[in-house]
Amino acid sequence: MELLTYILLIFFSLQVKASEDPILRLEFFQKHEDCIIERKYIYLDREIKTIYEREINQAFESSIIKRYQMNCLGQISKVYILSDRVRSHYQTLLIQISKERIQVLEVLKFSEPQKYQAPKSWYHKFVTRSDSEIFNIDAVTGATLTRYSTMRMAKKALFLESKNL
Amino acid sequence: MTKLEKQILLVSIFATTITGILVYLLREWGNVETLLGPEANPFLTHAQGLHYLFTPFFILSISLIFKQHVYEKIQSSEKRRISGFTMVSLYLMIIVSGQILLYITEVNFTYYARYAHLLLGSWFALTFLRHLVLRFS
Repeated sequence: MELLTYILLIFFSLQVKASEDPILRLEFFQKHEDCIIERKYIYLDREIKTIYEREINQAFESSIIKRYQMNCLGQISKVYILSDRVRSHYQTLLIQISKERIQVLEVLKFSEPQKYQAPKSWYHKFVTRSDSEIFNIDAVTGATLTRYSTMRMAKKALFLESKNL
Repeated sequence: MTKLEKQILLVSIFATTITGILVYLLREWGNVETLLGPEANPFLTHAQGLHYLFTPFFILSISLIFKQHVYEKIQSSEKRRISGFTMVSLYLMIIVSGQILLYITEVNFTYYARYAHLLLGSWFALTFLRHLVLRFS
């Protein structure tokens, strides 16, 4: 049984290495073809989770954070792919951070009914904001839970960036 | 209580409990991992839809038997009165916690309301079983 597990593990790790990271096929990364993109996933240990929960009063659902480092002509930024539950379903955001400020915030997936999704212009309000400026962003009618979820994810990304993990 | 009222009561309580448990299980443990991250179980929407569909029947079934069964038994001094009285109290709390879940947007409050709703619902289902057992004993 153990031998079979090892064989399967080797097989799957070879499969992952052989295939290109499918996340890099996202439109955002395709637009930055000239940049050097490295996959730098973070594994959150209990200590980091505890600090975060104490500081932000939220919990991390997953211990693995999907993160990519982009080097565009010497300008280094980090791109986080984060998912969060809105009410019953999840929304997934792509958040690019440089110098502890949000540079890009894009919705990759929104699984709640579309009427609860905030307009694109509202998501754009996060751009150039730092950690302390996020809660000044205007409320959005009919999408309160989406607003909370977006803020949670922006806060998470900025927190991880500030800890320099 | 007529035969039809009994049937509506049994079916609605059974269906609401089963769909409620299903919603909880799918929500808490049914997530699907996708390329971009976790995704809610595709059956969650259907389970929630069924739960919302059966809930009005559950409310209706208790209302139907209220005058001729609940109110009458509250006035009498039968042994089953305690479980019946508990059920009526739980019934009201289940409705309130369910409404809170639908309309309140405060994250921490909805977290506690969700577990309160689950706990009250389970308690109601178990009390209903006891109520039936007492009836046949």
